[in-house]
Amino acid sequence: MSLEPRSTAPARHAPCAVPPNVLERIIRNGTTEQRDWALSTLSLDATARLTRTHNAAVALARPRRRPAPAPAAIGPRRTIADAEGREILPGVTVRTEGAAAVEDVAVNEAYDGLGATFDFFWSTYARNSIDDEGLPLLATVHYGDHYDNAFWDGQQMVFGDGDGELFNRFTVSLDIIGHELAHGVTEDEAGLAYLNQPGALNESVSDVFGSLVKQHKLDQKAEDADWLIGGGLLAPGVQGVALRSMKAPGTAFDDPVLGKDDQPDHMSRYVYTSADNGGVHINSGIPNKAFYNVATAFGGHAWEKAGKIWYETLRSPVLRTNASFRSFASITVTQARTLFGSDGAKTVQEGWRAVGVRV
Amino acid sequence: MSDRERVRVVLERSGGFAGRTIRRGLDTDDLPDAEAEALRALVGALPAAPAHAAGPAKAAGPDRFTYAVAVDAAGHQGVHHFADPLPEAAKSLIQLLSKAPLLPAHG
Repeated sequence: MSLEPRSTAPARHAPCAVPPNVLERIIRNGTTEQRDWALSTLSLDATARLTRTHNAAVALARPRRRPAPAPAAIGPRRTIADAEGREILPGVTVRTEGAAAVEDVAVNEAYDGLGATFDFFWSTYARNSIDDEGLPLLATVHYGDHYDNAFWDGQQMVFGDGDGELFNRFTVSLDIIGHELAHGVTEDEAGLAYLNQPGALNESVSDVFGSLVKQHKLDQKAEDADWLIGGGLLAPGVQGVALRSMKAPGTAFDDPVLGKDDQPDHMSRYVYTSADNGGVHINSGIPNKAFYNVATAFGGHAWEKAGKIWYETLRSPVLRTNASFRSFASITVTQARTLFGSDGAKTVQEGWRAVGVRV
Repeated sequence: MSDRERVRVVLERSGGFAGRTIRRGLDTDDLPDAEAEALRALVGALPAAPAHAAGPAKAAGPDRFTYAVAVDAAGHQGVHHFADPLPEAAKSLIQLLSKAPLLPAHG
């Protein structure tokens, strides 16, 4: 867990001429007046990274009175609520942390999925919840009437029951739950803009960690995983196996109503569109395939090497909110070299080159 | 809007976890009188369509929906763009259309 201030990180959105690391020194060492000024200046910058840096600096400046919480206190701290078919949040609490399973399958799937996702990030990357500060996990099920979606709204998870015609309930697939919670992690760490290439990276990172949550739960190796996103989500009669395939983008479904899976697996087939925020769910096929290439080239548990490289890329202070595929890729190569040496870097490089991203 | 006037509405919902554009539509000619009247009233309650064709709405966050509601009626033609969370004036119409018959993709 990272509790040290990242005072050496270059600022991405300096709100004023005084660099954040200088502001942090003022917070630690300045007079009360200076500290107030520095704090208000720092807080003008809304990025999560700077907020965390500043919180850590303030924490360091305070005299330590309480010991750090015992490791036993770390856990998902789940609450599941029921919106009972209305579009209200959070709804009525139906299961809390440690409580026994209930009859409602959606409640239990949400509870277990949140737990599996927390466990994945904690046991593989020592990340304590979405914000790495132990955020309690809240999920609402049965949101809306025939609601065809699941999303992280910035504070909590929301699951619809699906329309039954195209989509089943959105708690059905563990990788969906992991995908949505990973949006919270991306927002906290990298703030990738939800548009065009950074948006497709944002989507891809969620597919990557969504799939890894499932692989981790099933104790699967890269070569044994199905690499499907949303398996089980398509209602009976819809022609397809899932919503996306990281292994073979563009092959997950072909249906008269859903249309054909049009994810590209190479830069030469990048889709330019104004729909879906610049095709964020379409072009994510390219970085998805790159991750699959890297994970299978390393072999073994995908979260140990490929996943670790992607996770550290997401946390890298040099990853910009408007990152292109190429700039994201070049950071993965740097991280691979740091973590696994030049052979690791070469593996990552080849994974990206195979999808037409030159690094 | 007169009682007998034909109103056709097509909802194109984009984004969401699935990231697919799903089309559904209603036509007063295919509806019982009471439902046809309800549809006319909901369409009538929409905010005025923009004078110039606007682009798709921007999603409020990852995996949130955006909507384009195409209205074809005498005296009311155009495309309305919305995103979650929906404005009150459009909520009931979009909830109704979200359960309407599916239309083929890319029509």
